[in-house]
Amino acid sequence: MKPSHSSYAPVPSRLAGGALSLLVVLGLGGPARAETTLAGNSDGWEIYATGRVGVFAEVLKGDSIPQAYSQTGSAGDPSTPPTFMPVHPVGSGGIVVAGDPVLQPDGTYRAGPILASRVRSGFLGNIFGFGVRHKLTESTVLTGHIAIWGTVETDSQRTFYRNYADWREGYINIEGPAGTLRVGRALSLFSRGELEIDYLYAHQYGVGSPTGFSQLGPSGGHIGYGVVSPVWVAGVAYATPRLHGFQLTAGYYDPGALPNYYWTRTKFGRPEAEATYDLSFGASGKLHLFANGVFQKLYATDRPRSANVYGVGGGGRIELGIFHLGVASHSGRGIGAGYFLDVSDTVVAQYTSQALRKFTGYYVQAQLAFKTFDLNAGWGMTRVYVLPEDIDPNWCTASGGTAPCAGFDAGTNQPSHSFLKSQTGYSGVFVYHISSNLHVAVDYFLSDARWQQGEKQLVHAINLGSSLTW
Amino acid sequence: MLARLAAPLSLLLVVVALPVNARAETTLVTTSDGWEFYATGRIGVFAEMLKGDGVPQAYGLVDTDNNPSTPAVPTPVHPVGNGGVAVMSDPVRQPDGTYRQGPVTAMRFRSGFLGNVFGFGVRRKLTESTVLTAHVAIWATAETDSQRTFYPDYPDADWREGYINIEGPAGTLRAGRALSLFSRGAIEIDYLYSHEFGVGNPAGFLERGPAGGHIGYGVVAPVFVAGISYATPKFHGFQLTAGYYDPGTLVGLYWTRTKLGRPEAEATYDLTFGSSGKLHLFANGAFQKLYAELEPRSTNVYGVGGGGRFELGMFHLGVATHSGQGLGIGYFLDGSDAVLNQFATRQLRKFSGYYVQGQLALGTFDINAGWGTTRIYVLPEDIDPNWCTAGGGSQPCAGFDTYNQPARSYLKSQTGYSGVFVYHFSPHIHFSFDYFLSDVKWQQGERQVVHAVNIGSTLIW
Repeated sequence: MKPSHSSYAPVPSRLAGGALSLLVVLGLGGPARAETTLAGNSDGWEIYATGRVGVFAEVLKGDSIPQAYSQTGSAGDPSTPPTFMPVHPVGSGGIVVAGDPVLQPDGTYRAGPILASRVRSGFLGNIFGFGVRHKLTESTVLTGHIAIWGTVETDSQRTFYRNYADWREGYINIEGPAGTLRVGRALSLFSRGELEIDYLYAHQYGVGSPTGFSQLGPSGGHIGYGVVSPVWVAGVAYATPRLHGFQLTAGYYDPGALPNYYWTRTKFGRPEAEATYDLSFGASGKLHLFANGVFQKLYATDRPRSANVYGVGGGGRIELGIFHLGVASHSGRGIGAGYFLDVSDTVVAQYTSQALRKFTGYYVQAQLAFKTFDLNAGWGMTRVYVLPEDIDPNWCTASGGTAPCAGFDAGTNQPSHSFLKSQTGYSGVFVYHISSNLHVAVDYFLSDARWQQGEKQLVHAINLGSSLTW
Repeated sequence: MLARLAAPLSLLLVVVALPVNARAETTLVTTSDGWEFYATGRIGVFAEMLKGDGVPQAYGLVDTDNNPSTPAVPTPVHPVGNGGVAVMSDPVRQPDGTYRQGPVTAMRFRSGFLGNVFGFGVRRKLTESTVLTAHVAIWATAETDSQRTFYPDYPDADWREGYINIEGPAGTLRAGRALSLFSRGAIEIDYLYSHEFGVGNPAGFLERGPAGGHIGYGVVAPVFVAGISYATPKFHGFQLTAGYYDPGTLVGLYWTRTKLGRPEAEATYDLTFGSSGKLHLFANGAFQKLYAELEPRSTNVYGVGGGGRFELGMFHLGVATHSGQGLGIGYFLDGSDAVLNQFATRQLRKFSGYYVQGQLALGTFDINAGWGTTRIYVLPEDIDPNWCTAGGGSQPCAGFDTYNQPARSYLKSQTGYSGVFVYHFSPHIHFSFDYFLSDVKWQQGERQVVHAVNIGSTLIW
């Protein structure tokens, strides 16, 4: 299907479809979409549609979340099954999939190897996008756009359960010579450049990390493994016109909090911004640099405390013929492993001081984009930094008290929980483009997750599937 | 088939069948490069009235002081398991001070057998005889969850279909979220000859629908699920469809883990004879291996089904049956204590279903009548207090009280009788008057009878 507008900057021809559909997902520019005009009326309003459907068969093999259980199994009497209690629990992180329970010599069970499969959505779910558009002047376009996302798999492998539709986008866009103004629910700006690399050079038609395997997707690409994802959120954003390749986009978004994790209150919204620089050179050269940031102030509800969540990111993409390379990094406090302000005990020292932990991420992604197929390979790592109260049993008393501080075992003075330390991902994707609309992919992802007290989980994910876009 | 029935049949294909080139749909636009955009869907609403018994359940707490400021907190005695029509009744105080479930009178405005559906797709000819299609469909109900007057819409919108389809001389390949194959023939009978424009059993009355038709009353429903399926070309009327689907589990009911997906298949035979005769036979099956999460145990869920549809002029008859282990009452692998012995061995129970449906299709109106029953078979540990000790021990086995009586009463059968009158105002607008009698029995003799009367309309496009 041909885009109805052609204002997008030139890119290698085979990538045009992908890059255009990226704009549907990520970009602020309204009129450059991979979309089809359904109808127009005499008043100049145009109705268009865009979307995709995809499905993948996924097989996981590896380790369970490293977790021992203390209750003895009553082997031989299935009528009184044991009640299992975690020992020295690990915090959030890793790939949550139930493995074969393995009986240990002392009668306790530990989580054993994983072999599991699903038929599921990939990095993007099924999308139905729909919009209306009207030229206010010769160079100014007003657009209203909505997009509903869904997954092919049901939640938690229930055979009959509503796959609730996620009204992920719904905004008004005005684009003209003075820039682009967008109001409504759309993708935020912090870490947008990172996610673009993941999308364009790896998982547009793939899967990546098996996020949501036990519940429902979409899957994660490199999100949580070097990439922290921006979020779809209500807000107002303005992008300047491009000046010699430079563009600044700034937005003010609906405030986010950490529900059930102490910092549950906000007063003001969240400013985010991204500055970009684009340069085309030679016959097929392209450079895209970006830097972005975010700030959110959070408050406690039980006492007058506040904390700041902030992050910065930067990186770039370079394209030279068939060779594409993207590099990105981010850093900040309280930002989360997977997406901005994701809620888990990785973010908050939940059992001690409620302080927010620091995060960093590093991501390198390469692509060989041949005419009918792509080869993509990537590496990324997200690190979580310990707080003194995570490892120092005397954190609460400075010089050491008689009673153990919160979060430590009374007898051993060892931390009672083990929090996420890092998630490292290695990815490889082969995509065959049957046509500009139909794509088949073989996708591999290795997840290497580690926790602070030495626990480790390795999971291999292999996927085969297809996507149809329009 | 009569011309008036062509539209409903082709809409059925949107819902249940694998081939996609016969849809009730409207082409929105065709692009210069050959892509066609289409839309399909329906909206319907019914006024439903229930009258009958509450779920048979006695309560043990006595309201001793008869003081309305300290009302009794009823606690179930000898609880019955899942099943029946879940609807609140008037509690009736008995001579000993306990309460029992009384009569039910309740009504709702609600969706029928199918909810509101918005379908959208794109299609293109790859060759002269091969068509590539992408189809999405979002379903919703007219009623809110649990009779809340204001509730976010997102749980009500159900992204039920989303698939890629390639159909050509070599058969049909479908990948994505679509209807599964086990018991597809039975649901086709329910849809075509009874509840396409009706309601049926009042499933989801307390929460939200859509309603159930004969599902749970002789019919176990296939499910909309992610998977890959292939249908052979028809050969002298024979066709085989096989699929591999996202594995399903019994969430929260012990068997919560899977390793591999679920194979399903259906074989069909179609024959047309005379000017209006048609025969459709089907046989199908499914298999899913389940694992416990915290013990090294596994079990198998499996089912087989079969039946046929026969049409001779205005007279249509459908007959179907199914049988299997761990299948569920309403749909494949529905989670309830009817499926497994939850409080003792966790063994899966066996199920069977029988369904007969007749239809008189008289041009502008239909008269439909059906009967179906779903049976659940007891396990030894459901009724034998000595099951765990073989020779009888000093302590009661799990699942039995100190009097050696089963502590719970599980579902035994659900029998439904249905009648639907449909007036086809036009090919797009349909009015119906719908009656369903639900007769539900539990293993220790409990019984619930509920009458459901519905009147409503449906618009399709």
